[in-house]
Amino acid sequence: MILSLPLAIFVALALGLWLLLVLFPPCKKPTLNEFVLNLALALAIGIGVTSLFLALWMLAFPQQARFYPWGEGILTTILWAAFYYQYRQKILNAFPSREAWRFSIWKPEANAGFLGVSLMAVLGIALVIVLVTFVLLAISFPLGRWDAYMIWNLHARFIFRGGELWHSYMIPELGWSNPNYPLLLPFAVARCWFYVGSETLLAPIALAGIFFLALLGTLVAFLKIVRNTTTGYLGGLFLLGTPFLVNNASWQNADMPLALFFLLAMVAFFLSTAREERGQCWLILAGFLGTLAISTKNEGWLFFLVLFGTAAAFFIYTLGIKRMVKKMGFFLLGALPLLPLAFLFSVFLTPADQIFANGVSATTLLTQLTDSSRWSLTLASFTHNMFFFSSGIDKKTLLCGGVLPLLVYAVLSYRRFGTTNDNNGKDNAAARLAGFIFFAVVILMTAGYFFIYLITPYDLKWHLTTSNHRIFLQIYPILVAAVMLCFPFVQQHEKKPTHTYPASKKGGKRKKS
Amino acid sequence: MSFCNKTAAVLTAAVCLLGTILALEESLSSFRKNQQEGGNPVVKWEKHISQLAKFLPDAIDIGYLSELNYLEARDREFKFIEVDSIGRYYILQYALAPRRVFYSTAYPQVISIFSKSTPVSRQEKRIEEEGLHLVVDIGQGVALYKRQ
Repeated sequence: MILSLPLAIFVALALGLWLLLVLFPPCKKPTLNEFVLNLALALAIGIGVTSLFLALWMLAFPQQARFYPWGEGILTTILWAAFYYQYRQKILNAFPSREAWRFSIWKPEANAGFLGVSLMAVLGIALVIVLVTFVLLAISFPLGRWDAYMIWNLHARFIFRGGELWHSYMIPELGWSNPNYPLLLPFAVARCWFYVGSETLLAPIALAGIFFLALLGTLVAFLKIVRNTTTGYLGGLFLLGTPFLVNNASWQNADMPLALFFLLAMVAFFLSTAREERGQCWLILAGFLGTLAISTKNEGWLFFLVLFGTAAAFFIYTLGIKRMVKKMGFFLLGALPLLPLAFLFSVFLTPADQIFANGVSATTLLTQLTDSSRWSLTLASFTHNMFFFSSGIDKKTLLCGGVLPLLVYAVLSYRRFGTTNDNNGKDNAAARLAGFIFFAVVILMTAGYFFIYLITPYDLKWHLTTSNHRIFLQIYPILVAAVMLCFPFVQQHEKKPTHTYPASKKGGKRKKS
Repeated sequence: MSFCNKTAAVLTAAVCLLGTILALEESLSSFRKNQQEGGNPVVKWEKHISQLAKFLPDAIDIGYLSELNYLEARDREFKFIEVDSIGRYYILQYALAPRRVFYSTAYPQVISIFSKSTPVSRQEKRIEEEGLHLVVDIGQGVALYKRQ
């Protein structure tokens, strides 16, 4: 039991890493930041892919569910053995050098200055505090909160205990448990239980912790790669300093993995535009991560459409319609393995979503959309939650987290708005553009959520009170990234930017300073 | 590096660190409360009602009876009135999965969970009205019945 749970996580990581290495065979050793980003990607992809494998296994061999870990283990071993035989050197290249570890951990960056080093220390302290908080909450609420045992872990129990009747809960009579909700998280939890052989409470807790740490690692590493060390640390602090986010991480519900897939898909999309090398692979990955979001929660559909629309608009603007079609083809290629499955699951296997269960007639829609009281109630809730989404926890934490600290930071850093100069020799026109794209996605997602609330068949006040703060949580990391990309912290020793990013063929050679 | 930029960074660090400390304080108070109560109440309750599992086959649909019917309970839930009956029902379903528990008495086997505040006479009357026959009483107001 002690080793089975880490083994389950390790196998998921190994499969995720394998997929990443196939898509992006490394030619040089990564920096620590690139390694952290790859690790978060590998974990997220690995957990997603293994959940999908278990779903297929349960459809094919529901009576032999306990043998699933053997099947998965054999598959992983074969894949890695073949890969090792073919690309031994590339595997060794996937890990940072010893110097990179030493340099990156103990000496953030030559030009980060005293403040950069101090922020790193504060981030370290904050991380320790947050980990202690997480452990205390996990001990106090080992079953998670309402949504965990009403929805996610309940569905996982049906999968683990149900045998061939594992999907018997997918009936309208159990609508309170949202039987139409996607199954990535329940399958991830049940998969760990199959490895362990019992329903250990540690499995959902460990997964919740992994999703949270991967989210933090992704944001910090991404900002450090694209902007600079100090900006990365500040981004991380915004996440750690949001009590609601830390609490939610321990609740064992799907908002945290969803936030992770949202952020990773955005990062992959950005890297596809900023890196000429294997840009199409990043696009494939963005499409795949978008469908992992769909497989996590129904909000993923909205995100997928928003990301698709934003990406298409971006490519039309920068490359023209013809090349946009080609680029979006790669995005859809990434979505291909999961999108049809997710669609079939939503339409044929499960009862209709509660919001659309009875169909939405044009008259009802029009009545709800023109009802000014619904607009004002929704607007008031959005405004409140945008600024104080931590207030659900405790009045004392009202000012921590949410848009307010970000707004204060942005106002104080207004001079740096859209700067293309980070002083560390990176191309920041792309980073600025990324900031705008991230903002666009946040705005479109918020508008989409707003519309859903306007047409919800539930009691509007109840629906807003029970979910509005959580939907902000899902897009909060993208918002933090957007603010940090548009208002970066400019490090101490001013230098002119030395090259453009992506390196243009005309004058993009990096000068050594 | 401008003064404003530096101030923004320092202020961010201070506010965020404060946020983590407040979250820690909150989690500590939850932890202490749990210690005083001898463990998480949901875990204890789930463990208690899981005892019913040994009296029930794996693939079965079970009914649920409480002081409120489903519509009343859901209505109160939507109005944010504390509803024990529906909370207990959710945990009952969680504890007994993969059996399906329905908030209705139209099943051959019915589990009743009444809150302590419901008078015994009222509980007995409801059970009699439904024509239920006791199979096992596991205490704390939880019992399994068979339809007669």
